[in-house]
Amino acid sequence: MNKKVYRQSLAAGIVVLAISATAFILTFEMPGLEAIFPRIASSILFLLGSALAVTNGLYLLRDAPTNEAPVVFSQFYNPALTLIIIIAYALGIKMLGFYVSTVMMMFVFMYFMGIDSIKTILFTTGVVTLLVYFVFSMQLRVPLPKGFLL
Amino acid sequence: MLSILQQLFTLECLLALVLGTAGGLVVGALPGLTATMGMSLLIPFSYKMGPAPAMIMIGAVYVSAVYGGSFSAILIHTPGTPASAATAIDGYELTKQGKGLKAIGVSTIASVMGGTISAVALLFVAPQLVKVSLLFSTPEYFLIAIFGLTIVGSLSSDNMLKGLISGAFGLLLGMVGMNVVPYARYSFGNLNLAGGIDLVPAMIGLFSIPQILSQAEKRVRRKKEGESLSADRELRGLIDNTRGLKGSFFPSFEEFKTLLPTILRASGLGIFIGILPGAGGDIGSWVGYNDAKSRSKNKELFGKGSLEGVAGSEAGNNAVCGGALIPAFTLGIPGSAGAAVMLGALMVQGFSPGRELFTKYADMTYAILIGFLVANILMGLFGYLVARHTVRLASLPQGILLPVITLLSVVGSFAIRNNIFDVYVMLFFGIVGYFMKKFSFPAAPTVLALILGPMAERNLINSIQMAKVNVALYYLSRPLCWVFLILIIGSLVSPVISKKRKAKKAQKYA
Amino acid sequence: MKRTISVLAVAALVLALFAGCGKTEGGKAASSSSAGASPKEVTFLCPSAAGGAMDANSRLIAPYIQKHLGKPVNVVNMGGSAGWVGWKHLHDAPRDGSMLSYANFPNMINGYLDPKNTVGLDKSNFEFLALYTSDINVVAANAKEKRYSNAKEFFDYARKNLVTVADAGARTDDAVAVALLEKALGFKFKRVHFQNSAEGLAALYGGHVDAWVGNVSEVLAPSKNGEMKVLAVLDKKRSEYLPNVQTAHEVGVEVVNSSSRGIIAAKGLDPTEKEKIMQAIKKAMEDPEQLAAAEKQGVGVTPLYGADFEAWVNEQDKNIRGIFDLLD
Repeated sequence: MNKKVYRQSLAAGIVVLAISATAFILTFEMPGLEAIFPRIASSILFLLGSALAVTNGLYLLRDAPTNEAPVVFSQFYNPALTLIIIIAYALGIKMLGFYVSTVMMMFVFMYFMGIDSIKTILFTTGVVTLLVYFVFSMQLRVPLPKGFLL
Repeated sequence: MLSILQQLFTLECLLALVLGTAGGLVVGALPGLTATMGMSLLIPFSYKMGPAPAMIMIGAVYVSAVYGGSFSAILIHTPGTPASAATAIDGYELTKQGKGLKAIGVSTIASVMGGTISAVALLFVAPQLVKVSLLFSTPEYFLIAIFGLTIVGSLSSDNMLKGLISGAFGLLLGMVGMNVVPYARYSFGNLNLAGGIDLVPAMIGLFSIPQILSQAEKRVRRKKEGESLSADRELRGLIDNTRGLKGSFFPSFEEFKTLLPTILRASGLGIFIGILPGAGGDIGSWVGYNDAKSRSKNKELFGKGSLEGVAGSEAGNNAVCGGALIPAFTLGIPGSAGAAVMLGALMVQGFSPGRELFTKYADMTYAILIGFLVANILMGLFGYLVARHTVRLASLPQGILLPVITLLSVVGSFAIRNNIFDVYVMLFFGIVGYFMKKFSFPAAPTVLALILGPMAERNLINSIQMAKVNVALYYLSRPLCWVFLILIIGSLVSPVISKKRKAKKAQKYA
Repeated sequence: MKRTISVLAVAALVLALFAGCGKTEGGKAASSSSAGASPKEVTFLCPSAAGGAMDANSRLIAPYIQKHLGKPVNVVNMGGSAGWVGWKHLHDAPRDGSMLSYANFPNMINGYLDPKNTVGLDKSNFEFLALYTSDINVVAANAKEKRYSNAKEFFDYARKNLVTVADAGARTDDAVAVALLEKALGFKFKRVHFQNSAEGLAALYGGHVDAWVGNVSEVLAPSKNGEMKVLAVLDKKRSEYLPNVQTAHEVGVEVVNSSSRGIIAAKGLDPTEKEKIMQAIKKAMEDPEQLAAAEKQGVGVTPLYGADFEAWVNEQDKNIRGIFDLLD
């Protein structure tokens, strides 16, 4: 159990190292003044990332005890599905239009999360869509994307 | 005096006041709609109104939106405006403990007090405060931003290293795009990235999406045909018991006594931040929050549900509003984005900021300022009236809340610049934010760095441009810089000192 | 299963209902209807965030264009990348007269001259319909400045000592003015690029910079109130608003520069629509109500229509190509 926490933090540290190194390398093309801060930021990030990786590597080797619970990847199943719904919604806005996409997302998402009553689904979707229409489209004149439907 | 009141107590003004305050609350509470946006979209309407009602309405929207942002920050962990990001940290924890109503109550009191104190400052000591603000320039702003960044350490007391990484990551993200010199960094050829990452979609993504995805983890799957899941009851919202509803809006007298010094200090700091043209409400809230934490006797509560944190953040952000109007009305130099819009509205009406406002047009100006003061109080009243009902909204089943929050997050992100790219930015930060959350990297330092990083860089570059001889000498030749240098060193050194002190104490009793 | 089907059925029904009401829905994006028919409304793009000078101008003129065109003209903000997000959007939209945009100069020219600009558009992709306003550049100093009080003294001082000059951004009209001055004078200033004029003014008032470059409309009130000294006006003749201020020309520095804004459309705009729109714009710019409102806001209306505007743009383009390398 303990080992997993350290392995995960070690991995996180390595990811941070990779990101900061890439960021630093990308600063070589930048003109003088503009490169100052990115270099400082990526160097700091690099140092911190190495600190994270090294300390967790050491904990791993020494088999130190910890109270932290590791991340269990099976936890990601539902969030992943949810994320798919949200991403599909975002992409759908441009293609199908805002209102169509929204109604579809509300239906699917609410059903997915266990709302059984059709009344609730219709009511909530209706209220919220009207609210958005009133505040955003009418009052603020925000041009919500139309897509090929709505 | 009489003529001022005559200007103020017209039907038009009073209507403007009420509508502005109510509208502002809604704008602020909806994530993605910022105070600045709401105000600028009102300017066209204001053409047709007289100057006093127009300015009062826009000013009312300003203050109530800054306050309104705390509602969604507290109840659904999604700051309604960037000025409420710090409130979301502790506010939401309080909601989870069933103290949502009280958190809103504290937020209301703090916001009203902060706003009113700054309105009073605006009315009575504006000229003196302006003189102070002119003493500050780019070197001081740079050091103030760095000082702000040292707060990052204290935001992540649980896991200092991971918190610092979150902060450094935020710093790096803030470097995307241009700053001072028109060279687009880290833009990978994308036109949208060349302009930099907009704070609001990033903030919405970092706060609301991880929340949605985490709650989704608890989803219960349907088993088989016919089995009535009663899911509506299974997936109850955050407030299981009715404590949140029946609980008190107002803090107890004892609690208020502890909160009062925090609120007063945060208000003072907020006014100060406001009069500085380079810093706005979002910075005011962090300064207030940090000050509350550093002086608190209950530091461990911060991050886990501290009323002081909510008070400090909300008093700070509302105090900025009045403060920012001080240089705006006297010199034409707005102290915040909101103040800039108010100036714009004033100029649309045909008035110029400066001496004339306070001499030739004194009646109108003071009517506007008093209206501003009243708005700060009125918003508290409105907030009190709707608080209980909004808390009830937050106790709806997750099945209803999550899709609605998703909708608001997406619409809000889009509405900033009418650009679908901002929705993708929000999603990116949402996914990154979720993984950060799972692997115990706090999100608050990232938001703070996104705000302060560009400010620090911009002022550093500007001060290099302004220094005629040597940059270091330039800084050291300015007395105010010394003050901030000492503050920065103090802020970095004090956690080390207090640790040593604790160790010594432990040794003594060992 | 039954549940699922019924939920999906209702969803489909609602979808159909919405799609059906599609034509009557709100939403203000320009709709291009069937080929040949004139668009029902016009989107007036403001390529900057709500609340700035560009936005204020757009919202000032758009209602009058609407009045004289006879169809709704809606201002839509689309900021980003110094206007290019908006102008690209204009370029990608249909040429049927459904979209116009506001544009600011020299910002637009600076934008396409920039080798790092990846948008791939320049003045040849747009039609220049009308110039609306021109705000001449000025140089100003702190009110208590003892070293110089007019253009000659300032330039003489700057020739011998390094002088810091504040502007509102590295690619703004202010920065272009500074570069033009440097070219004409033969020496450099120390340029400080703030985010906007107001920040620069704060630095000026606090005595943190030696001089500040801005526009006439920005200095009228402060100079009247004694908060600053205007040193020079960058024009051939003195400004009617600032009759006591020397022009740079008078002291031998032949620099003319301004911040100007006008209305543009994508190249290839349908000729019939263009004619209608130009008529409407002309009437709007001459509309006395509009002029009064502009006066109130301190906006000087200096119209140039069609070919005149295009010639002006070409001249600006030439001037700026001459100093582009001098810009940061």
